[in-house]
Amino acid sequence: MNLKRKLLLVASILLYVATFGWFVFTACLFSVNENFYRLTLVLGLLSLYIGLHLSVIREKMINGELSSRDNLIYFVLSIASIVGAILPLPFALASVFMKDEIVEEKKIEKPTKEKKERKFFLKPNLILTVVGLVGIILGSVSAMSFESSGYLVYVNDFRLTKEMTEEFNGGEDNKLNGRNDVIENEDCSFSVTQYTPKSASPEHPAPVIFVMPGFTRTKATMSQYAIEYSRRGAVVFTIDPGSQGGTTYAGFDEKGDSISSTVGANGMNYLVQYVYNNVDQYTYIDRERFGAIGHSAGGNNVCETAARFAGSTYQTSIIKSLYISGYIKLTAANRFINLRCNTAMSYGYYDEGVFRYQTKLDSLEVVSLRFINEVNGAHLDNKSYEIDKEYGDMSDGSYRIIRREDINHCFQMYHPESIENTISFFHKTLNMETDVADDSQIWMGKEISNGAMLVFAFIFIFALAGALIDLIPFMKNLRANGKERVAYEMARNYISSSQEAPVLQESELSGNADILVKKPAKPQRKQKSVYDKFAFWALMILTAIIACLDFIPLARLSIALFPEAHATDFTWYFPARMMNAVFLWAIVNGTIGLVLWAGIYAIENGVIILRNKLTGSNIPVSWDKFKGLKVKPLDLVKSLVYAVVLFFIFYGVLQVVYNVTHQDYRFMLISASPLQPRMVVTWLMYLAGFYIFYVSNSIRVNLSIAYEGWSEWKVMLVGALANSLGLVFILIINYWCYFTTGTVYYGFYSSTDTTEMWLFVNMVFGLIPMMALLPIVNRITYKMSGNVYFGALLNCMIFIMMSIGASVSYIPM
Amino acid sequence: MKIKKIIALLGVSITGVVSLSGCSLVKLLEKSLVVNYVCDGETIQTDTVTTFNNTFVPTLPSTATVPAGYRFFGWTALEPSDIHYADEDFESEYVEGGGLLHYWDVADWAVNGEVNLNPFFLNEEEIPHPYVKVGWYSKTSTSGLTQNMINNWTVGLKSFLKKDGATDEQLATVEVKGYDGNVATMGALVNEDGDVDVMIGVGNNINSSAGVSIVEKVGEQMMGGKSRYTALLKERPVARKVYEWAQTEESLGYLA
Repeated sequence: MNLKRKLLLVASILLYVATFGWFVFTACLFSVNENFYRLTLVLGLLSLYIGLHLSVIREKMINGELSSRDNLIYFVLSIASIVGAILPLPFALASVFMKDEIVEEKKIEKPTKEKKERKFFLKPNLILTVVGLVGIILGSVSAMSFESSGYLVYVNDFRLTKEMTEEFNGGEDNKLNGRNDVIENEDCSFSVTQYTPKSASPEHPAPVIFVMPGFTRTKATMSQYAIEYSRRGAVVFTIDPGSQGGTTYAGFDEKGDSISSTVGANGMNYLVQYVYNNVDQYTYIDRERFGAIGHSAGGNNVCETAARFAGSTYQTSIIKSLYISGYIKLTAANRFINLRCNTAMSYGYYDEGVFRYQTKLDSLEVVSLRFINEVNGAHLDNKSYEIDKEYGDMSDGSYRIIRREDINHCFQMYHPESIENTISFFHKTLNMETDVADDSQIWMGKEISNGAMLVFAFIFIFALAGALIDLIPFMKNLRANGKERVAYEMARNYISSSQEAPVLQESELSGNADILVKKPAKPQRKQKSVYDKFAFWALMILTAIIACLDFIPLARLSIALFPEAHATDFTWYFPARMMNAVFLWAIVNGTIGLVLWAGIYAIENGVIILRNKLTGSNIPVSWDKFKGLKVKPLDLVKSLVYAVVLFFIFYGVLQVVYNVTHQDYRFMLISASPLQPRMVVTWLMYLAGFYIFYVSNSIRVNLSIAYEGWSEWKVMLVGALANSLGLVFILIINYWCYFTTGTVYYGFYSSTDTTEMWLFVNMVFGLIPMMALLPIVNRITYKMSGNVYFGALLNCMIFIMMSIGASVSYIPM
Repeated sequence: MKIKKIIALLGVSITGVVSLSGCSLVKLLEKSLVVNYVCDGETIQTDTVTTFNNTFVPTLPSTATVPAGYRFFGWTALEPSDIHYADEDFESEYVEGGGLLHYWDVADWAVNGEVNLNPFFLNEEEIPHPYVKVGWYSKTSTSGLTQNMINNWTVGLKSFLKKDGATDEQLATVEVKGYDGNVATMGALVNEDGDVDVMIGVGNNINSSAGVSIVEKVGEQMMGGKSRYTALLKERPVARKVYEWAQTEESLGYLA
């Protein structure tokens, strides 16, 4: 035991924690325009510096090299650590005044084991491949059992086409309250999922509930509603909005202009009419009990549909129950007066979008009052409203209720209380015959199962990548390259392995020296100077700050550079509107990362060369980091082909699983869903640009962080933090400002440019886990292939397809 | 290594608890104030406003006395005689009667978490009436118009009006105001002001979806690369002159 070293360790760890705390504090101050943030930023860097210095002294202490000068610095730093945090001080000071303990060095022969070559089917990668595949299969079966409520609900997909709407929606006979809705363009079709409980039959017709997701969301993100309604006996239809998920584009009109991507209330008008009129197929539904719910833009869509088919009375209204979630724009409010159905309105207490509605015309308070006053064509005279109070009468469609759950916008649809409120509403207003309590919810089971599938899918694909490299003779040299690189890292980062570590750890399980179990000696890490360490961390922090601060300006720039996509016009020119912001961010930050990595490395070596010339010293100059970029052309081709093959295996397995069990890999907003041709073409457009970011990340983790000489888990942890911290700080800035002032930091772009930016910040929630995962998989694939390009290729392909598949693309397909 | 593991475990636990608690911890950050509206010595309404909940500002009770020659503007915690229309921060010196009260509107006036607001009346003579008022649709992504374009255009407009015989005093009251939001919001804001003579950069739906009453409108006006409409809202001689000038090449040149 060396108490002094341990105290030092605690002190330096506490200083690192304090560093993080200072940076969080800086972000909070920055978000509310407190100029003190500059001071806290400096304090953060100072804490980091002191922490690093203490750890260097600790390392020296291990090697017994502590000089009197070191002791002095050590004492000063310990005192100075008070600016970093109060807590480290006692630990640091106690260790200063404690007498050094002498550790007796022992040299013990390392037990040597001869490695036996494992049989191929016992190799870890192959075992993990099988585990991953089995996990995917079991996860999908489990998820399906939740989605189908224990196989009591039949779940199927279908596509709503122009021909179908012509047959069932067109013509005088098919009009609903005088309205026809037929898909205009034959290229346009909507992807729909239907949930049919076994209890629904012509003898016991079931109520119907239509579910509509919001902007940049697919119907799969609303499956929790479908699960809960269908297990209570309702037939449920969920639909992908225009240009999202499996739904195609709307087409062009006769003039050649884009038909609105949200045509037909994003398809809801077509679907409701089709289901209502298709009496031959839908014999088991009760046409007097139609309900609809939508979140965000979907809330507006269902409101439009309900108003469109409202007729003049509750009895004639096609939609009898309407739930508008997360949408209070005047476009919806102006339709309240036309509704003839029981209606609920819900808006998260912490919905970030509320900053846009702060006038006496459009505020939540004003819209709420209109909601309970503009009922069935009449203007009532309520002077105030109450949350959760029931207004009106269900029997004539005048029932109104306003909900405000303690949740923000993008997670409202995953919030159990919010979902319970919708269940309660439809239970009452559609007279659903069910014994299941409103607060009983099973959808989390599917979410967790799908999440497990996502994890197993990654285990499967990366283990398979390793297994195939070992198995296929043509690929084996990649594995050899990987081993060579790892061996090189070891040689570079550690003192020669022939030199024993000065202190050997012994098991403390037994006091009997005769039966001590001895661990093999650890190779000793080459010591880094404080300058090296600080330069490394300062660069890390700098790139995180840049990544944090340039996201919103680049999102704004994406609007200017890709105007067609932003205007929701169909285009072949980078059509993924929301992805464009991330795309620019990735190119810029990937490039900055590369330039800084290469630049600083070159400068470091330049200084050494200059010093050698000026002083006549002979400090060795090493360009080994750049050598890590080298790869044989044939190996590069192999890497590319291999990455493509693995990508299609990843999505091929997904397609098979989806066809059999109707499940994809997902956890809430992060998902890999089956490939759609339109998404594949979109994906191809973005790959090259995004690749800059992915290869930059691969270089950073494998040719920079890994050269710090840390253990593997630390390399991956630091890589994950470095890649995601910038985005985490965007959220800290945005939400600290929001929770303390009621207005998000990134609402409008600026006081003079009122372009809305808040939806771009919503995207960050889904990006962070992927960014954290990226360096880890880049590291794993690097050790497999020995080059920084293979992992970047594979990860770029998979992650970009995941992002595009879960967003919107205005590609004309 | 043990310490590292404990710290890592603690970090994960704290993050997990915070994440699972969702927004419930946020309640601790929410600020609130009690607002009393006092008229003729009596508190007529008391509300609690928070950073996440606005409230409605009452109008003046019908029984309240309005000084002759004065107009009721709203409520304030400041000394009414210190407030003047020409003040740079006039808008923040009172809360509008019948409007919406936000937490930050009155936070600076709070004492011990409470604010007392009194009626605020303004002398009619202090309230200026613009010689001409032009509105523009400031949602750039739809209208194509930017503040820079409008600044240049306003210089051109004033130059035109001066040539037309407007005095410097009249020119000083010319107002060019941006209206933002979606079509319905923009229309509602224009209607609320009620004194806009001409609108530029609007769509064909200015008198339908936007719900603004107009005298006439003209389309195919290229502004910021987009084909937009200009609408005449008031039939006044100076308004018509501005409406017609707005269609000229000179005017559209500023907005190209």
